[in-house]
Amino acid sequence: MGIVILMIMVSVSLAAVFLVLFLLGARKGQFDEDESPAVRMLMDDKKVKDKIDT
Amino acid sequence: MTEHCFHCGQKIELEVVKFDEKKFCCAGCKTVYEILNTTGLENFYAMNSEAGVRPDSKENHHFDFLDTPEIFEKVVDFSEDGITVVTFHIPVIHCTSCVWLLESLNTVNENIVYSNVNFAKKNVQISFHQNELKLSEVARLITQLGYKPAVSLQSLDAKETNPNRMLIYKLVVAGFCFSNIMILAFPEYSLPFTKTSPEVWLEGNKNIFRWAMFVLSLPVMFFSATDYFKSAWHGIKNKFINIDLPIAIGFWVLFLRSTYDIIFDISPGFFDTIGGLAFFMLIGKWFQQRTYKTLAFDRDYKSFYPIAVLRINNGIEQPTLLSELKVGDRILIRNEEIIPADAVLMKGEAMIDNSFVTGESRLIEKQQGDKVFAGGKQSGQAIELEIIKEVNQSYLTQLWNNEAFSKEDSTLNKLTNKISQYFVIVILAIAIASGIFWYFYDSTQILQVVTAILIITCPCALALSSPFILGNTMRIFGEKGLYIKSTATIESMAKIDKIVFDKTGTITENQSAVVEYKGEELNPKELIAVKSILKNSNHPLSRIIFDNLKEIEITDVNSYKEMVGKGQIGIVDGKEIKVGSKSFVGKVEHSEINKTRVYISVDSEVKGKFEISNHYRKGLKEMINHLDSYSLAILSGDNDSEKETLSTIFPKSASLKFNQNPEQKLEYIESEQKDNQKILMLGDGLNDAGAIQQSDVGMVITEDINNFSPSCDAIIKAKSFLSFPEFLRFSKISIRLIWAAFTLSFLYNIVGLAFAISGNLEPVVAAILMPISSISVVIFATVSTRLSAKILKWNLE
Repeated sequence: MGIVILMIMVSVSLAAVFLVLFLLGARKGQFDEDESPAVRMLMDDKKVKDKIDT
Repeated sequence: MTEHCFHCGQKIELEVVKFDEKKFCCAGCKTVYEILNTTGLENFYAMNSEAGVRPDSKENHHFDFLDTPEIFEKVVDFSEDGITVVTFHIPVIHCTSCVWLLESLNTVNENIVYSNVNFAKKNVQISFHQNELKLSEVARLITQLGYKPAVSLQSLDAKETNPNRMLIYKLVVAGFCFSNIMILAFPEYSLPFTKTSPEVWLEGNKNIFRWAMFVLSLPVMFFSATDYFKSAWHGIKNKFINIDLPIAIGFWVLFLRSTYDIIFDISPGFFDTIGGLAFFMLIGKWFQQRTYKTLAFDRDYKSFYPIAVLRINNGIEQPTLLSELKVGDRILIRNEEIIPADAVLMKGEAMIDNSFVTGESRLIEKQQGDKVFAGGKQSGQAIELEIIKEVNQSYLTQLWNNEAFSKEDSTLNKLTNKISQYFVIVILAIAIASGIFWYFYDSTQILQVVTAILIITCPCALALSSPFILGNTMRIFGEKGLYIKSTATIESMAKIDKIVFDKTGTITENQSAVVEYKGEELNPKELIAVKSILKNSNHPLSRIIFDNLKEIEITDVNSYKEMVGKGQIGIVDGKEIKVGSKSFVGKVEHSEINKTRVYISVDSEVKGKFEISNHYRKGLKEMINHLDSYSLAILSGDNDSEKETLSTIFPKSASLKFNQNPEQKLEYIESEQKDNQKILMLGDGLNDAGAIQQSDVGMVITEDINNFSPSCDAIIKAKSFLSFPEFLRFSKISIRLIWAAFTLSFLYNIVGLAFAISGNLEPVVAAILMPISSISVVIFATVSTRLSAKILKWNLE
């Protein structure tokens, strides 16, 4: 049943990777403000539109 | 039909400015539209129609002081190699279009590198080429677009504090450990359900599972849950039992008992309960912490004072930081600027608007040599002042520095802590009693039973009920237009005995004034002439009267002249019309004080006057009737000319006090509090700041929450004023709901106790009972508050 132990180790360490990534993100301030990024992604990129026009 | 401005969406009141087949309310809005169109930013209107902000046409914007090196240094975040980064606070940011426009600044002006909006804080960070573009020009550019940056004395002090992210770290770590412990705990929980005898592989490997759970519980115990231990220890040191004490006991008993169990192979331990406990409790904390970040409740006079003022030194005007002003300095105050320190008028004609200090909008005329006080706003031409007191010693500053402001708010959940005191005693009594019973019955079981009791009674559901109910109540209040500083305010609101109202600006409306004409009747031609003249003036009184003269045409005015601070003169149809102050039109009349008047004369003959007075808010009487269970009082800074009107609105028992200065208001609150009354003060936060701070609940009413939020416990929107009784009622309902949630969580505790006392508390029981109790209390809290909010009749405009 060593495989179960291996699976557990793999899954927990995978989860730990995500935990660390989240903590790094939070450290950089990704979760300090959740409103303007949500708004920003809805905005059209104007320069792209210009290129299509020409 | 009323038309709305294409840019700002406000009703077009005065005149329609047509441009590009679109209608605008003022030249300012038109200009913004022009700028946007010429720079290809017309998408602004596609996102949200009428989303613009009307640029403030009234004020002259002086940002030149920003270019003075010392001030520049203090304002900018960073400046090197010709690139400067500055953060401005812009209170009017309100929608997606705002964000988009402010982030497109680099297309409006090529010298701007980038701009980044923080919506929650209403800040914009702008980076620009300093050699090509001055800081003052950046400020002027965004002001032109309608986004006037608030550069105040406070913005200097409050430089970017690092947000506290500790809670989110703890929450995430607890979540990670909890979910993984749950997976590891599952194999052993499934044992009773397997038909065959215990699987061999599990017997052989269970120690690996158990010790893995132990390892995963360490970050929870020594990182995530540490706040509870600190708080409990702090409570014990101060001889005070708070809710965190039974929680801390619960955590440690769980941890030690589980470790003991796995060492001696008794049971798989309660590690998943530890994780779940920490996870759910931290969610509660996090929920409580997520409040209105956008509203600053701790503003003081500093946010109204400018950052710098023009000092005259040997005839040279130089912007100087407010903190560097000294007694004897000469300063120049221009139209619409605030006087920063008590001073003497040296030159010019001062018309002081003291509404910030006294709450009255009447302009007060000052002569040379008169004293002018800090906080007043000059309207009219520029004046020269000599400072007689330093900024931090002026009358107004001292009022704000009153000790009432330094009182500390305890944001603790008073109700929860009160209950937990009894709770701890009861739990300990039960634990000891059952310990004694088991000592005689089966002494080997004592440790098991006593620890089981302490584990199962860990009041996590109890601790969750109040943050969730109060947090939801806070959110509901916010939706209805009442913004409160902390959840503790709701508890205080529910206990109020007496409500004290300020008069001007609180129960009277600031914006719509009643204009009454007195004197010789004006014929239609004269009315047209008066209105035509008023059209040319931006003076607030001219605007009010102009708005009131409806359905009157406008004709051309010849040789119009406005004498700032006095009045205006013009020739219409060959007649010389004067509109303005008493002395300006040449009227000699002994008049009562405290009335605002504008006099009219035609061909040097005084015809009459417009009297402007505030009127009471609509539905005031009805609202007062709903407050019959409270004792009421009015504190007014005005004279008692309104006494009769007020006594018809308010019940006989209400005490009406007039001619109260800010200090007397504060003293009144203090003396009432000495009689053990819980006071709610509702004011406009200007001249009654001390009283508001002193009261148990200080509430401020405001027409626009973005404009003004002084130091207080709660801010109510003028539109929600009529719902005031409902807010009070709802605060009482929330407290009752908290009690209901407490009862619910006690029921779970009793069920759990039955398992524990009888010695049957298996880890799996705790693992099921604990999350169920927490989740059901949270669901109850959310659903019950939302439902009660729906049932209650809100009187909203």
